Amino acid sequence: MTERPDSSSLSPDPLTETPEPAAPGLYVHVPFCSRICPYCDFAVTPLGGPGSERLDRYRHALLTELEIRAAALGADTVYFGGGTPSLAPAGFFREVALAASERGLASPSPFIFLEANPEDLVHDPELARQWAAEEIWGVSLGVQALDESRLRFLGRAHNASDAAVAVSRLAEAGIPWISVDLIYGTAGQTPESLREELCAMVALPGVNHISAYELSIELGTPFGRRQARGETLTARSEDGSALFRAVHETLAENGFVAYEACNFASAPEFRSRHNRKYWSLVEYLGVGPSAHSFAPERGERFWNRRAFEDWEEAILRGEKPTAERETLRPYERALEEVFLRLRTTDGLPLGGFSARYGEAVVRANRRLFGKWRARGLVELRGDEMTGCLRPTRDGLAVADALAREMNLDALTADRDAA
Amino acid sequence: MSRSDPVPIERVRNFCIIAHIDHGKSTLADRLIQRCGGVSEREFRDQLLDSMDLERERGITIKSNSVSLLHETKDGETYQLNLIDTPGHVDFSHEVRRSLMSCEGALLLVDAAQGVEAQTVANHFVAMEYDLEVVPVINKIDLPAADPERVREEIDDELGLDPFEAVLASAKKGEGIEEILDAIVQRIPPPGGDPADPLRALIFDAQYDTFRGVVLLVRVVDGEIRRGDRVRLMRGDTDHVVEEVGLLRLRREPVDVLSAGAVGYAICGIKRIQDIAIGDTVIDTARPAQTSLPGYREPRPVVFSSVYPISTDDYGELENALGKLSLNDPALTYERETSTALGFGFRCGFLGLLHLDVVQERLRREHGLSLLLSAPSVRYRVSTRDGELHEVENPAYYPDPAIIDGTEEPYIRASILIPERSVGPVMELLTERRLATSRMNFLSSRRVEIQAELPLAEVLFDFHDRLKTVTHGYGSYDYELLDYRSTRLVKVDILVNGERVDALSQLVHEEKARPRALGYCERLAEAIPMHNFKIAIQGAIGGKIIARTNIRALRKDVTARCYGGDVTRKRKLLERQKEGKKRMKQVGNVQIPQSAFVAVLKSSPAA
Repeated sequence: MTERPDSSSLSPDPLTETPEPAAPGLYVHVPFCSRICPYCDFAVTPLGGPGSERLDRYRHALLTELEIRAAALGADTVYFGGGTPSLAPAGFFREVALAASERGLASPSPFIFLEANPEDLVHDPELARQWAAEEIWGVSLGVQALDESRLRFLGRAHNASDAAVAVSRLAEAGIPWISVDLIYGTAGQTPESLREELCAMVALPGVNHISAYELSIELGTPFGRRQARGETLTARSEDGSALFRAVHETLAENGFVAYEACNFASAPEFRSRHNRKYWSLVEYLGVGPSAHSFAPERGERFWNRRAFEDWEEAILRGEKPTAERETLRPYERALEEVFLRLRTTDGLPLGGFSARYGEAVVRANRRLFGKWRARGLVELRGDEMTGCLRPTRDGLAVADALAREMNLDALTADRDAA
Repeated sequence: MSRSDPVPIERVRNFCIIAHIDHGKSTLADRLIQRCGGVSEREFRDQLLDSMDLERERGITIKSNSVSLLHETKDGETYQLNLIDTPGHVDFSHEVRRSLMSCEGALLLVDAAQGVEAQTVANHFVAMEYDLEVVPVINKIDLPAADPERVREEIDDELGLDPFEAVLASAKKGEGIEEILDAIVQRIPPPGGDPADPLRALIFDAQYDTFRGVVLLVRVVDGEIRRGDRVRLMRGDTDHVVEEVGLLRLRREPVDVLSAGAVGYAICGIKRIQDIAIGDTVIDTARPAQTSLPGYREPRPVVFSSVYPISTDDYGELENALGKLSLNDPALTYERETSTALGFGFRCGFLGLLHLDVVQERLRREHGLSLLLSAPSVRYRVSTRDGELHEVENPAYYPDPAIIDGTEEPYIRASILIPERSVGPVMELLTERRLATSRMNFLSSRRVEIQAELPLAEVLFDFHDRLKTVTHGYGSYDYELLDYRSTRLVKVDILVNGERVDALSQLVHEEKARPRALGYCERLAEAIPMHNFKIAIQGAIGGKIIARTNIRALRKDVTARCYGGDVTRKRKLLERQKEGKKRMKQVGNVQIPQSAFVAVLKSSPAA
């Protein structure tokens, strides 16, 4: 691809013309890793030594949770995230998906996705073929970097050639959707070195999706502690956006089009069928420790107990392992809709928004939208009240700031009264 | 003799304690009260006279309290010692004068380690002006750093007092208290005045009693005042009937009569403290004296600042609180003001920086208000082409420069006491502060007094701190207002993306305009969060830009990953941030957080 898309005009992009997902999703959290990465703050426990016993307990409790949560959800995607799902034994994914279908939670033949570490595919040459046999649709590979020193810094167990081997095995096995993750913004990284890594990444045959995240340091992680001690772990960039821009430009130059602030696809059909549901507020159920769920009809979010034992204990008592739930008031719901949709090039459809929250809210922001447009942060498709507000590349870079600027005061009365 | 028997006038002593801040005045007062049994142990609290928390905490006296003590000498005579308390700071110099007018003598307290300080000298001159008998007391002799001999030398050289008359004491340890009491009895003369003359009593202070109304603290100069008398407040020109007179023990102790020379209180059925004036003269309506006592002076605020509530909802409460404070503090003035950036507030006048600080603290503590104060400023005199003279202390009312004929600003005479080796740096500091003239007196112990004339505005910003820094803590200063002198004034505006932030406008001397504007711009630039567009912050005089800084546009503001499990946390963060934004002030298209105003306006605390 030689033509360089212009950030301020995404208009003829076919990606944004494909319909949004509508069917619910099912997320399965696999809480095990063979080692814990120093930046990670997900709910994971190391799976060391005789791990199979814990894996068995997990498998048993998970299938029980599906039973307890049985409902007519009919998810058309089942996404195994972690943790490291690639540690799970043969047949696990198919078995869980089938159980979910039997309990009404998933459709009879859902798209199955899983997250994998490259080294697992290297160590077991059969793994990719096995997944293909289980009808796994997509694999998201935790490559994170292709520069050896960055891989070591990030505490990863694989090297650059492992990543290449893993991708090629997935491609050879015929896995249709191959996504690679990248973590950028580590100390010392420059836009130039980042571009090199990205080019190497898109050159891996078979990759049709990329997720690129800037390293963020979380409290309570080894990186968090090191930063607290004064260590520099992240790249210092002049205005905080040079690397972000480098990612978007390089990937666009190579035919990967951004459809969300951190996600890129080489063709419309390769956008993540599952993750898009989070941004368009489609229903999803999460099972496994710490998994989150969203029930839009009840306006409810809830999440599971985080610690493996706590989660397991509730299930063994025959109870839902829900830790907490919250019912969203219109203000909260609207705010979510704004910040989630403005992360995507699908954007915020104003007609639906005003139907849900009242025309006054949209009217109160008309001048603001005008300013955003004038600054090239969004484009408006359609008219001021019912059109769709779509962030440009610059807009995606400041999506959170846009959400903060939105005036939702018309909806705060109920919140303040509460 | 029982306590309520009147003490004959020749055995009455009226005295005060004058001292530099922190030289131990309140502690000494406490000891004297304790020694004279003026207070039981149960009633005794440390630093009894400084009753407000704030005074106690800062160790300074703001409002005077006075007390009558009975002291029995070795030869068995009982003396009535009236201790008139005085505020201990330059801002309250007029109150000090009024207290001094009520006395025949003063204890001049000098710290045995710190020695004579500028304020000690200033206080001593005032005491001399009123012809008081001054008894030097060298206090804190228990300190390891105490050097009484050096201090004696300073008392001789710098105050011209007989160093061998100085009493050595440690109020903290109770040492030298007997000697001080003896000195009061022996060296301070009894009050004069003729009880047969027409009544003249000076109101040197007042208290407010919820049940009795205003309680006047008076020094009877001539004549007598007793219950049932019809009296007139000369300046107020109001007549009242005396309901009660008495002595100022820890509690009020009624007596039949207060005669010439006495210090006590009078309750005259006055309901509001605004209806009286401290310094006024009380006379008898039946036999009115013709001339008033020279005690009254209109309190003239000299330092001004705009006070805004952080939360606009607190405006009513602020108005309320200022009203209450001004009841007991006639020197505090306030008038309504509006700022586009900060909303409704008040332009307040103060006697000085300490006064400002004290009022601000009381508003915060006693009324729970969070406040924003503009940089303190002075009152300028501006004459316009049409021949009118304007007094301007608020930049908002500064006339159009095109019609201004001339401007004047207040000057002070500062008396600065420093070690000899600091002369260079202090002169440099003074020059930087637009020094007009200076005179140097070389004193004892390698110390120098600099008498300097400079604009009041120049000591309002961190002068005290800078002086302490360049003299390694040994310098002190005091000042008195001198006169108005011609100046070259400009109004500096601060612009954010071209919009004037009215709360940050200020009147400054031409020479200081650029550095001041740049300082504001830089502090503002640090305190305003990035926006997704570039922000220019400029300092301007009229249309002319004299300083400029930029805040770069924010280029990335989106969290990395945002999947199912991240939504709630993320929403809560955004909600908090949106709340924070609401408390911001909008100037043009830029959101300025309160913290930015605080960062820019924060003035260095007063002494």
